[in-house]
Amino acid sequence: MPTIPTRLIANEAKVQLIETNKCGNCYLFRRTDLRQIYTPGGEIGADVWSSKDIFGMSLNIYPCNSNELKIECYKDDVNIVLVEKDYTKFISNEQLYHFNIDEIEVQKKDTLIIFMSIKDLLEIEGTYPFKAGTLNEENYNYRIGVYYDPLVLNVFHFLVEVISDETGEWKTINRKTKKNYQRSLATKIRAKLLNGKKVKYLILSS
Amino acid sequence: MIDPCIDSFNFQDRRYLFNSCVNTITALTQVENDNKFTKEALKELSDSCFEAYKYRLEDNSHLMMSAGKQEYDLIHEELINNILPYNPLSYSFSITADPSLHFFVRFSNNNISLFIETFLDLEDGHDTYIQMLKSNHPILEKNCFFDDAIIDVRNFLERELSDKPRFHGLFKLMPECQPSLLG
Repeated sequence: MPTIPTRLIANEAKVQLIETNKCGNCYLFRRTDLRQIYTPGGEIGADVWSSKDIFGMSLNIYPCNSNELKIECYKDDVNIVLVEKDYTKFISNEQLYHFNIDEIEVQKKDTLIIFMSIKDLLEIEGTYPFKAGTLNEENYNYRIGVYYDPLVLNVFHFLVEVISDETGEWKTINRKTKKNYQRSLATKIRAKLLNGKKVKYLILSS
Repeated sequence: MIDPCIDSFNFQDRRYLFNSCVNTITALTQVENDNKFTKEALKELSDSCFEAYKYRLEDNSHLMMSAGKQEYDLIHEELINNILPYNPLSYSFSITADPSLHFFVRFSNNNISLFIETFLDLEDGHDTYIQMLKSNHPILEKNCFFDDAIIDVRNFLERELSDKPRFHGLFKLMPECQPSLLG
């Protein structure tokens, strides 16, 4: 079993480099569990995510000026998964002493990968009805938040969240709360991404 | 020139192209000489998509598969009848694990695209969302039953894509002329 490539391990210098160089035209990559990306009609299938996936989506950044940054990364790094899951958030170099890096096993998956630009994600916003169809129906606003969320064992990790103002202030919608309006909100977001052709399929050269 | 990525094969009396470089399967469809979809071609393409994605319903339950197929049959017939006069450029259908049915249609004129999602809800009734984009800007977004949604789609397509001359105000009752003016 191969061990984790050192390029994925976070340290303060790498985190600082990605933090200061992330920008709108950088792409975020996500592995899927799909049998095929495109439908026989030639569109990306809507099953690219379930509704739940849209609330708190994990992706890897591929820094767009990676040559100048001299940071080693590959577009399909998102397909490298830990045999034993570990989502420890990176805080400082001190944490690295608690990991036996040379013994952490990984698998290279062969799954299909999609990607989107940060700019396209941040442009998604709109309104959605709460208590739709009742006398108390209200419209709230939503938008997409893109956050750098480095993990000790994945320095390229980003989170995409749906943020709403339904409580009076902008807050992340938790994927674990099961509310009917969340599904219709997920539908709107999915429609904007797919209908607008914002999601692309990564073609890996062999 | 032969593309080394592309291989063709037959399955259930239909012909498909498999592109091994981008991992896609495309159904070959009948088109008329001027490259417009025929009704039969759209139906065939739609059914190919349903076959490719029906496992999402089967994975859920037998009941959901039955409800999903029934809803798909109702929607795709009506949708194809309504989009056919406006020369659709592409047509696509897929199913998510939620489960919901998704229809995509793109039109060659005016960069118009149509997205229809029907969420299958066996308890409270199915719920449909439609979105139409023109040059990537939303021009119609609505949550309703499919029967209501398709009326909006039909009206919108007629307004945006029809070659027919437009009529203004003729649907309202015209005021009657005064007898003196009639001579």
